[in-house]
Amino acid sequence: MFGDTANKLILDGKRSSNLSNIPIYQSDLVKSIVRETNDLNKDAEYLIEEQEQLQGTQDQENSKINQCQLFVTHLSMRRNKRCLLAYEKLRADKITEFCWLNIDPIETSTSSSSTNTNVNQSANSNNAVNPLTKNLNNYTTSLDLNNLNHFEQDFFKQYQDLIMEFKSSFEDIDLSGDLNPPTNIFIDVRVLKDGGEVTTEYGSFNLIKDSQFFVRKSDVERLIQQGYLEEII
Amino acid sequence: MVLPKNLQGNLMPSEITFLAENELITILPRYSIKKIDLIGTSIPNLRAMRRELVPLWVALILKSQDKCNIVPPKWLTVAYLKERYDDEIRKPLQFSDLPWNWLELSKILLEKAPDDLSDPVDQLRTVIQDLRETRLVKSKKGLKELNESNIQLNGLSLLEINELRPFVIPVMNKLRQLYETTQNNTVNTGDQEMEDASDDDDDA
Repeated sequence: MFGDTANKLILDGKRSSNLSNIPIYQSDLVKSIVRETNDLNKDAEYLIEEQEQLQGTQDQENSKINQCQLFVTHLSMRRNKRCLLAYEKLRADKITEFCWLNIDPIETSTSSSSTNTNVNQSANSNNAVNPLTKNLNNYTTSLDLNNLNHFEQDFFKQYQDLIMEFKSSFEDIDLSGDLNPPTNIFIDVRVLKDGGEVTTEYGSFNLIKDSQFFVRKSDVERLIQQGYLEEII
Repeated sequence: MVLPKNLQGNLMPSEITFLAENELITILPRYSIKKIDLIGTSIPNLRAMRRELVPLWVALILKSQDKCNIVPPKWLTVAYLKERYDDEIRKPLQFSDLPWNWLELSKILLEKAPDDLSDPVDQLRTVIQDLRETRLVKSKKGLKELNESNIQLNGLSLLEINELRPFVIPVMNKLRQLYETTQNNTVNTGDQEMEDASDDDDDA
């Protein structure tokens, strides 16, 4: 029946809507839906021609049947379109969610974007749960660029640029920082993985695994986000 | 959306605590500190052993450095809370009068300033727990009354309302939709249903 493949796509989207990553793009399903829609469009054009021929004659009965057919064809097309849009919107939303977290995407593809950090090392693909993302359930916290199709990758890059542009007008506020309200100004942190040298107002310290520091929270928030440090409560 | 799903339309407990920390509270400074002008508030001149009103978050910072004692609010005593508890028992249909932030404030003070409280901490904890449980039972009972038009929650505190919100609001929305569709005996019911279907936020 018309719309069955679209339904399959929607079910797939529903299943993946609460995952923490973005599953692979269903290009086959999308292609077959587009094909179906094209076929429906051809039908519609044919039906319109028929309709014009019937207009002249006095055949009311057939004209009504034809109109009904045309109507159903259009409805099926619209339904396909809605399903495709819903699927794409879901994925786009997940991509934007990920962008705001400021974590580097998993770099399995050749094209990779690394955000500028004061750590002289780009994050490699580690599947450790970030301390920041522990309390975000149903939230996109990892992204594999290979699972996106070409246009989505473009969207991802441009959206990142948009965020950068937006943030540049608020120089001293980190808009993509931790969403929890501040509690203490100074915190104890433990280093989870080796970094490099980090410089704060109070001098620099070396990130060596398992060492602990007592630092100002605002200085290390970035590093906590990237999973180099964890707060000791 | 930029905000995570669990932050949309509801507050996190940590956010409620943050709001509670803006309440003013009386402290008894141990040292004299000059006036500090902040962006939001200003901390007045503190003189030793002279009571002052400051925001709770300032009080907590001073307390952690042993520079002041916090004067507990007058409702944070076993006697007062016991009275409230008896009220709760006596009037099964309403909530007794407690401050808007009573749960958060008592939690913060019991944790950070247990030595300043007039009553032993364990007794306070017991009576607070009792109060909390009776009120919870009441609010659960009150959920029977959910309808499509309104609900009255007099005397519930912010944290308690926040616990109810994610359940109550979707239920009331659904009830409202159902009610509206039954009320609409017009010709264009079909259109109405189409609209409702598109308005549905899928909370399935």
